[in-house]
Amino acid sequence: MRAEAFADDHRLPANLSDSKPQTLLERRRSLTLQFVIPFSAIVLCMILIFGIFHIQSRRKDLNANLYQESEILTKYLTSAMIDPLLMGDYEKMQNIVTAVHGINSDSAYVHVMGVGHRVLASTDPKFRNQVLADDGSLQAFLAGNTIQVRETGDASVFEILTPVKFENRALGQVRLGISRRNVNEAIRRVVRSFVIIGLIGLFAGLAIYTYVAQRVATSNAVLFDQVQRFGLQMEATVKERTRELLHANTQLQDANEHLKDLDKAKSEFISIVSHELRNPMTSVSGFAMTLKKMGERLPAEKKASYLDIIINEASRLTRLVEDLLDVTKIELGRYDIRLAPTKIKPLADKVAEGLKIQNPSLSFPVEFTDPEIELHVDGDKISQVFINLAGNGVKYSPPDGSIRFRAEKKTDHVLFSIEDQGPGIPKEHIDKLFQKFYRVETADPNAPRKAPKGTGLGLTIAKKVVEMHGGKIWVESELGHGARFCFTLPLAGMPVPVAQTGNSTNASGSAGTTIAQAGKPGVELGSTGGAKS
Amino acid sequence: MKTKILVLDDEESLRLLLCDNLEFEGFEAVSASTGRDAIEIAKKDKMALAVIDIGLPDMDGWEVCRRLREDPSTKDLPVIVLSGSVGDEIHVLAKNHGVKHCVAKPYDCTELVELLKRIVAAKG
Repeated sequence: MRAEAFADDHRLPANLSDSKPQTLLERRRSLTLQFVIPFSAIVLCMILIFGIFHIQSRRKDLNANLYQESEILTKYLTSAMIDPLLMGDYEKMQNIVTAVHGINSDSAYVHVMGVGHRVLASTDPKFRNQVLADDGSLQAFLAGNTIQVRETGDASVFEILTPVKFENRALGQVRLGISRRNVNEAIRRVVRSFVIIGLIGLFAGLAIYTYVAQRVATSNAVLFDQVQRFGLQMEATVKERTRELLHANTQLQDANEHLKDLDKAKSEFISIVSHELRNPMTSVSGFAMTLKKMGERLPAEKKASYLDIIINEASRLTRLVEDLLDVTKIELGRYDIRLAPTKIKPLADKVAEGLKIQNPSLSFPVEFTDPEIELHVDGDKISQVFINLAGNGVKYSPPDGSIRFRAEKKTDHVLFSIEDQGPGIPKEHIDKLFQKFYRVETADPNAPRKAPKGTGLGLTIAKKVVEMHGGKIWVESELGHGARFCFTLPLAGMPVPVAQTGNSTNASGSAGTTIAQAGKPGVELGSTGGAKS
Repeated sequence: MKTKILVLDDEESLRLLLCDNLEFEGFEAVSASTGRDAIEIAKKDKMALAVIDIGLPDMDGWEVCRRLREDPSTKDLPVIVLSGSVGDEIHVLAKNHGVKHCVAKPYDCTELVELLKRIVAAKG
């Protein structure tokens, strides 16, 4: 019962194994049959062998007994017949024969015969006065002194022949028919009782055995069941673990690949940075040395242009260092932005003003749909974004071109755009434009190069700043129709992670100053301008 | 006639620096900002020497060297390569491209000009 309940409560998930699991009952039945059938066969064989032996020995005993008694009876009859035979007293003979036959239940018949083989007295009246000379050897037999035992035509009866002698003279013979009926009956009884006892024993044994076997089979079946279930669970666990391991391995490989990529990116970054630093350094030192070496031999015009180059390259170096610091801080999450309610139009106006001073031939119209737009932003950083984006336009604008600052209020954000009238940006560059040090190199030597060469970091910084404010940045351009840099700033202010702002307030006291300087439109304006070339 | 030296660098100020210095030394400096221009100039005009920057917008400085070596008119042109760093790798590349001299940036302009003068003099 317990086992069945067990089996019901825990149905095996069939899909886990290919072989259909047996039910507990089925298994128990098969186990029982396996044990009971051989047991029954063995017991039956034993009963059979034992029974045959027993019956045989019983039959032997009974037969021996029968012979013994018959012999005694024969001897008695023989001695009892001497007198009547001598006397010729047939009546007495008949009386004795009848009496003996009546007393002895084993006797089938008794014939008393004279020497002429005539039956003188018999239990069976039809034999009287008949001559039973059925055997030629009888004469010899009569001459002898022995008892002869022989079978008759009837299997259940045997005959004892005894000569009756008086003083060595044969008087006649006694033929005693002994029936085996009683012996056979006794043996039948023995067999019957044996069969009954055997069957009772067999059934009792079987019952006990079946009970025990079932107990064993049940516990075996339960064990088997548990083992099978355990096996299935193990299989499932192993599969699961294998899957986990494979997954972990894949993750590890991915992580490894990622680390390799990072390492490669780092090496590339360092090599690019060193390259970016080498060129302006070579210029600065080269022109300074040339000035020193040539001294007064140099025309004044050359001197002035060399000095300009030195100043420009030096400031390019400064910008590069500052931009690198900014990018590093952004990447480390230590870029400090201080949010405050800020009117955006004055910032754009100031940037436009500064750019106009540096590029008098260009125009910088500021067109805001709502001049009063006020956002919760870091004003210095937003100015920086304007400068970096406009700087790109300045570099590519035709001599009398204009760079347009626009702002448009949308439902939950403000869309800003800075549009130039340059040659536009080829499609293949647009996606990579915001990557560090990515530059659209112009193979055209006639391309306008008004602004100093950029650091290759301006757009990267602009992108990060906009993203830190919760906005998006992108560029739209069609070859021959200028480029339009767009970015959005959310109206509700941006969801700055508190940790980032808090962290950087402490960590970058001095760094904050650096950034603030870089963002001052009035002072640093042109210098941070050309972000990309 | 002045000895002509080809200066290939995409950086305008560096081009100017080298050209002016070479001219002060009595050479005629011909400058180019792209590899394609440089190869064209070298084929058209007999140059005594070429100074080639590795980082170029249109093609790698080594590619310029390879193309110069391929053309019969420029295959013997001595080349000085300017590169950001000079390591084993650069030397192997230089050897493979038939370049005997590599100069790392930032370079000392005076020393570079002295080197150019020596090479031109050795060539006769």
